[in-house]
Amino acid sequence: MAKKVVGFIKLQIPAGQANPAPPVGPALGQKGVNIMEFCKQFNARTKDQQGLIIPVIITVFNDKSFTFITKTPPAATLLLRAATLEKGSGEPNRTKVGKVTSKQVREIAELKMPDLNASDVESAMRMVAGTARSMGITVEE
Amino acid sequence: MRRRRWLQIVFTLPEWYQELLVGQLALLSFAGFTQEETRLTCTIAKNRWNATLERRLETLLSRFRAEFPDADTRFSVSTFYEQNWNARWEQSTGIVEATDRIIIKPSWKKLRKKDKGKIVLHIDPKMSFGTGHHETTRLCLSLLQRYLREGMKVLDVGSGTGVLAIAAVKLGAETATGFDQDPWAVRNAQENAKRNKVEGRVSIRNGTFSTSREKADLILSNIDLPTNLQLLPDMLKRLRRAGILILSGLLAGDLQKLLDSLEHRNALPIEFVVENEWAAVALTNVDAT
Repeated sequence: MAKKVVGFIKLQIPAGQANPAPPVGPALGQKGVNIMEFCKQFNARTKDQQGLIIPVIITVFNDKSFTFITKTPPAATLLLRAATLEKGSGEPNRTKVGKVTSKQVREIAELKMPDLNASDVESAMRMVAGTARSMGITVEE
Repeated sequence: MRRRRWLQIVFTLPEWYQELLVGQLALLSFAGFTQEETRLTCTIAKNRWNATLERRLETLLSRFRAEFPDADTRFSVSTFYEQNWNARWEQSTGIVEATDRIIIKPSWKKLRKKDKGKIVLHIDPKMSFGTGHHETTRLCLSLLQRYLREGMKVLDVGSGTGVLAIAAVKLGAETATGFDQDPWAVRNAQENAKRNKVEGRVSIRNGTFSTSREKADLILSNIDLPTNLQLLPDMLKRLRRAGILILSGLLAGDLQKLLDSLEHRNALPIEFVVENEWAAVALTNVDAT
């Protein structure tokens, strides 16, 4: 008998560190999914991406079983990685903490385009560049 | 034990703004984020939230608004207490036939005729690892059943529900000591030890394995590959001569990485077991030469 999808859960959580505390516990628990099984699988599958935050979409079926897919880290995380920084600037207008090239902005924009409300790569790039500026990261031509 | 309090900050924002904001918010020590259409919920333990993080949040949002003026970055704040989030799933669980000799029974299920003669582990899982529903626990139990000898002293690293420590004692171990960093799991394992009437021989400690120096005849570690690799030297050191180390929580595809790490160590793999994509391995520290 085919299983019926009863819902989706979208979380963004640190790779390799899922545990039954919030947000994982309440989000999965209210759908009756086995939280511990998800944590075990998620941690095993993302163990090589420690330190990054990973978006994960969990599909829940009517028998309380589930599957999940992980996606690329959010744009700001990718920008920090491209600028080889651990965190953004406390004062972005005065302190520039790093730089990325417009080529890197384009790569991130292309990667994240499905998640951004952008009609083309150029408008996705403007959004990514805006995010970079708000974090104190300079975009170089 | 006091229940932990959590704080949640909720934004109502289109998904594309959520996407741009989440990576920045992640720098403020949030435990994670839930996205439900236009609702973005950021969660953090209440005792970690402070005035500095609040100021950093305000700064971050004002900078974001400077670049994206139409983004509504107002938010609401609320708190809630920790609870057994797994309760709904628990209600749907039944008796697990973990191995040919061992079954795992939650308190709300009755034993069946066919369970006669089996070793019964009474486990109410709540929110701890080790319910028997996952391959890694079953694989561990099958190796434990094979290699445990009467009177052994056992250590269980990352004990979760206490299922493995309790099983070890029921299979004949003299004592079993579990270690877990999660206070919720420690309490749950202690409750389960009492439920099985083995609390005199099973002790559960809140802390890491490395905080103790005890030696053992058999050590179990059902966590994950990175933790197993990190703890491997210490675990081998704490194993008595001709001892057994059972490692689980591994993806079958990662077994080679584990084997590579054994080179130049006094450890020999003696058995692998695999179920679906998961694997467990039993090692011994008998010198090969």
